[in-house]
Amino acid sequence: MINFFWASLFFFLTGALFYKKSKTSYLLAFVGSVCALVVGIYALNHSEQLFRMSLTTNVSITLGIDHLSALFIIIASIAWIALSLYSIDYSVFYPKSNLSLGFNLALLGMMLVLSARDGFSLLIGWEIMTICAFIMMITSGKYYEKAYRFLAFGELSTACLLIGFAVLYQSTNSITFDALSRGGTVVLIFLSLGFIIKMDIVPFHGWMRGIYGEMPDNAAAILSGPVTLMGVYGLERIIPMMPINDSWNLVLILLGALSAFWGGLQAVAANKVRLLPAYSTIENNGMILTAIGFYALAQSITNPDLRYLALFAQATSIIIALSHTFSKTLLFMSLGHAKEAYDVHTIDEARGVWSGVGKIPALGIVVSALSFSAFPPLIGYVGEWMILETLFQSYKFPNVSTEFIAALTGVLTALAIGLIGFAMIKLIGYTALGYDHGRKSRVISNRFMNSSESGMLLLVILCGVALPAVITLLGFPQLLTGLLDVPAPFVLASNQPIFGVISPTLITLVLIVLLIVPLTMFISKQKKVRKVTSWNGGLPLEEEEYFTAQAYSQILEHILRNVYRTKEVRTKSRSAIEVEDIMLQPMNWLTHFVQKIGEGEALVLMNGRISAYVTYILLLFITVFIIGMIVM
Amino acid sequence: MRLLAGIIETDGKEQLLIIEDGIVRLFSVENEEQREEFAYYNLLKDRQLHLRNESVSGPGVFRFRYGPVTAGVREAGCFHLYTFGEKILHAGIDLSWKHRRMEDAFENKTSQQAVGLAESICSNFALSHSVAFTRAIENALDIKVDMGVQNWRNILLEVERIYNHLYVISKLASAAAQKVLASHLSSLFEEALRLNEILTGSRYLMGINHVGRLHHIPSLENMQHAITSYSLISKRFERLFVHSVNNANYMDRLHASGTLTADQAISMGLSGPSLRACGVKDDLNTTIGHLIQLPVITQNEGDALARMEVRAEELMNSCEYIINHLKISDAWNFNPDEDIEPFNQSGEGCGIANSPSGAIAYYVAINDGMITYARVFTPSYVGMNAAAFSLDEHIFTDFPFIFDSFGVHFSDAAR
Repeated sequence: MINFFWASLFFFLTGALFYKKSKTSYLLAFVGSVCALVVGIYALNHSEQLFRMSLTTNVSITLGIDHLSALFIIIASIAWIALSLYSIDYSVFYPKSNLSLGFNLALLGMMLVLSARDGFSLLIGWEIMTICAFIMMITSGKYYEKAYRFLAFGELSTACLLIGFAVLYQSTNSITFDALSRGGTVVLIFLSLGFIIKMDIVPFHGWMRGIYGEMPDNAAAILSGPVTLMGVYGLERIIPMMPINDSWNLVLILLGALSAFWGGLQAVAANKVRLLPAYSTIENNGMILTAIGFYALAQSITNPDLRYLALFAQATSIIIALSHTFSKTLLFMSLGHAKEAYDVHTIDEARGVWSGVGKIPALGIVVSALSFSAFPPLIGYVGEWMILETLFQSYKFPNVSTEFIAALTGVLTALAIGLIGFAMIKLIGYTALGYDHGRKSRVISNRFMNSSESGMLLLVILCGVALPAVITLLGFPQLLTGLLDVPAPFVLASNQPIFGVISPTLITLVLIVLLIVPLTMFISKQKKVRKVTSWNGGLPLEEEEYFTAQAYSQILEHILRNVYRTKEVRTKSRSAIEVEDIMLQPMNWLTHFVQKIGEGEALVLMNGRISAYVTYILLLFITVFIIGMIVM
Repeated sequence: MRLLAGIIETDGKEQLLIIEDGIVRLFSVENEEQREEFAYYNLLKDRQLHLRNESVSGPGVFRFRYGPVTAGVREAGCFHLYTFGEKILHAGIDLSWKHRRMEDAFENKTSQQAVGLAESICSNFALSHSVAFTRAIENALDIKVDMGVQNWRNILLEVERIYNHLYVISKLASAAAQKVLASHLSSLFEEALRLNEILTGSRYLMGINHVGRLHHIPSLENMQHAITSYSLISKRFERLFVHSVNNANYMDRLHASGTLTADQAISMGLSGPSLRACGVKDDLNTTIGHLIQLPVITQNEGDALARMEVRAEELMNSCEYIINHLKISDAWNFNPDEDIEPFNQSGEGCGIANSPSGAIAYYVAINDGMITYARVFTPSYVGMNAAAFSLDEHIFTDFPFIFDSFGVHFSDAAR
């Protein structure tokens, strides 16, 4: 199996070397991803060390696989396979760029993260992933300033991890994951923060607003799906190993719920094709963080009632992570397909994908967006039901403060789910099912695009329909049972004795049976249907009379104008609504502050005078000297 | 105050039809200052059927077309509302769907034939149109009208005001989801229409007024019935009105909706309740010699609530006016069947009537008993323009309160 692991790294590396021939490069990424999937499947039942190289007595580079790695390698590699295949066609839009270089190396970095067994290996993979994501962002040759913001957050994440592992080393003389159980609160906080930042949890999402709409679609999909998945993996890896800290767990729960709510709220107001799914990522990752927090909290209390809840919360976090990665990859691929075919940026401009671009990308948008809207029996429905069921059982916690926070979290999460449903209906209604206004997209090669979209589409449906198989594969067969006439293992139970249950498989069967009669009637009477233009005051609609995507959400922007900071920019014949993400304010202030400091420094010290330059060097030297003295 | 009711252009000569001190006069335009006195001069001069035809663009902005054949728009008219969802950025109104070239239809008709045409311009203001038209004819041909006829016209104008005000207020109540209030007001409206029929033979007061005379005068028995009925209408309405103004929800929806300042109202050429709701006393009621002077009701807020309050008080005053006059109406001695012999067969003249929504003005030119030129100026035309202006910056929920509070009609505005 070790050969498949090295083969995957080899193919990613070779793919990076072939970046000038982007189709070949993506093909190699595809092969590497398949190898990674094989590694993941194997590791489900086998834990083993893959590589070890000692650097010093206490520091080594150790790579290995176990069940947790396997779960995340499988989830990530499926997304990589789809994206690699998709990128073969997509590469025509960026023919002479470093996009495939960044793509392959980012995949390599993620593979290292998922197989790392110590802080050093993790940081290497982490940095490769971050820098390569940055390379993908600047492919267009524009938007450097916005991409640097991403890099700043990426490096902040790395800095947190670095501090966390440094403190761990100081206290335990080791940076292996095994040493985490001896790490203190500082280690827990810094490492958690490092992973949370990568998950784009509010308020660490400041970089995305500017750049998400501008980067290539496969880069956006990688960033939103697999890259944020690495943050989830990091938390899933460290939290069970670290000493219990209930206060920090409550912080994680609240931060997650706030993030979910904020992501949902901003997704509603987003009008760019990629900004809406980007905010949905924040919402999903917020729910994952909440679930992880609950898992840690329930696990920390030695109460038999909470043992099942801990397991259920852990399964919840992984199911949402899986659902998010698959659905988001599908959504970004389908939207990217439509966006490039139309060469547009806004939801309004991307209308009529079904008739104007193709049925597969349209179905991809519909299915993935429905999954995010918790539409049964899709996998997103399962994830969102599970998080709510987890929160409903907060009454089991022994203290009131936890129950109160859980109730608050429940409110925020329920609101988030509602808001995302609202946003996704906008996305489906305007892009996939909207009227095409007689437009036809430009002709693009889409064989691989359609194949990867179709594959992911089926997977999103199948993961929901065949939920018992997925739950078993993830390692939670205890959560499956039977109830009434539904045999085991087709029922997913949130508690034993039973508290709440769902059976997406049964829902599918019922839906199929219920659909048979109307579908037969529809097919048999299809020729008798007379289609007429819908009545609109007796006149046909003119182009400027179509209800816009912005109008769809303006009522919310108006009612919540103090939250959105809704502002109307008005001239005599032109008008526009502007909403603001106030959570970006601290970052904007900081950016402004740093810019001012830089300008001031340039004026005083870097003004071309030798004396000023010498003073600058001297000051720098003294500062470094003092810091060195303190540290030593 | 001086109100420019309309602009007449004949043989390249421009004349301003101005109402001042209750009298309507034609003024030849001698200099630019005369035009500049009235900010709405261009509106009346151009008489565009697309009011406020400018467009607004921007990200997410679209034109919401409401009409011409849509549930909620009671006549064939069309609103063009530019919006990005909830807020009305700019409102325009297209009157062209109801434009019937009525002024052209007057030509080559005798004055008696044309009375029916004037009544059919707008059913709700049928009597006001008829009275304004017959007054214009009477002025043009120098016909002396019996005082009894003049008094009956004034009474019937108040009769028309009552049922129109009931209609407008019931629509406002309905739009504010005050279903009980709206139902009671609708019942009163129906009662008023039935009284119209008893008094004049027509639910919409058609066919009663003629040039220089009335078709008939109500019998004494009917008058007694009318006195009792108007007294009841007034009392019932007063109770409903007092009750409604104590309803916070209803008040909240009308208050501060579609507000106009006095200056704005004057600069738009408004008259009637819409102007008086801004605190401006117009002199339309003093225009025609009433036996008992009607008080001029005003409010200061200029919003939909103020317009409703003005109408409500006017309604109750009109009831009182009618009751007081009907009590002495048997003393008015004239023969309605007597044919009026015009002094002249040719001439030109203008006439006005104080309709429920403001001044209706007619200008007619007659040659050998045939109308050669006619111009009609209605309160709905300037009212539509003001209503569209008032809609700007409001949300869609406010639309019905604002529009209905002006009491304007497409048929009246489009002619």
